[in-house]
Amino acid sequence: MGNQKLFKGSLQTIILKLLAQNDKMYGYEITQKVKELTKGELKITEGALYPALHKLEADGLLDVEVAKVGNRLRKYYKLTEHGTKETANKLEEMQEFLKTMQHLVNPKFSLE
Amino acid sequence: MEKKHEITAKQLAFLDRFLKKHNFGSEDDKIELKDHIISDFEMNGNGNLSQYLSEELGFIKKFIGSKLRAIHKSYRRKTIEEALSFFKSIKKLPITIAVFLTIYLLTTYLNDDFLIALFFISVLSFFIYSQFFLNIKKEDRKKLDRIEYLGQEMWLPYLMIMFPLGFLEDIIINKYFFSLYWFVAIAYSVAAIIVMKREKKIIYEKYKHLLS
Repeated sequence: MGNQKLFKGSLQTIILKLLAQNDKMYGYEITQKVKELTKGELKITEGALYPALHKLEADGLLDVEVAKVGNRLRKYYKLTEHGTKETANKLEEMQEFLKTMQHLVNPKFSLE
Repeated sequence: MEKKHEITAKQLAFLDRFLKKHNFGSEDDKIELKDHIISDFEMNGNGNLSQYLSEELGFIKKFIGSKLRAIHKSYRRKTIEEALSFFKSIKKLPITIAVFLTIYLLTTYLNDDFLIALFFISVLSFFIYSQFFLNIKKEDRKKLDRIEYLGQEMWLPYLMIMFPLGFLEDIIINKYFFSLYWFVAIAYSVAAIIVMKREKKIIYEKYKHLLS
């Protein structure tokens, strides 16, 4: 799907936003949540999700917590203090980007 | 999330053996990978775990590779930032200048043999300290990639002393260049050790459930 290419660059922002809303989430849950919120329009593949999560964790934006769930251990991700600030910055950048795109693609109906 | 079916104890044991046999990453990787595989298999699999794993083999290999790349890049970026802070921070700048001047004076006034020995000993001692005196337990290295690769940035200074072995006497003729070369090796070593110590503290706190 063409959409997949478009949203690839926004993956980190999407993950941070979801974690800001949900306190803590695990990898598979994030893929399912995006699918549910976009009614199946967007699908985060595991091949894209985990590299993004690992990068955010290595950069100190995410913290991890491991809990026993049923017959296995589960690794949860949550925002660090730095991650919370970065989420706000990234969302602001995203809004600006969307406004600019709106100007370019559809000047008549742009937000400003 | 609705499950199609629940993984059986036999399948769980098979999955453990599969991950162990193919040596997929550290214990930390296995926790995440196993949870993802089970969740997806229970939601979307057809009940045949062996077939599911064959289809997902590409993802599993990519999972480990991408994680290691993220860790490498993160340590490199942090070490470079730390090294740059020696010039940017008002507190650190006088020490940086003093170290450079000391190196320059040594390069100017010492004879070449003594200089080469001093160059080796100084850079190598930082390398040895980083590899053997930071008290990182061997078993912890196996449990977590971030511990395993903690000292990797020290390989650059190490290469800086090994690379010019054949033509060190030619390099030493140009005193300015040699001073700078030596200074970069020392500054990068110190930056890498500062990052290692800081990260070690953070990692042991963050992963206390996994590490001893």
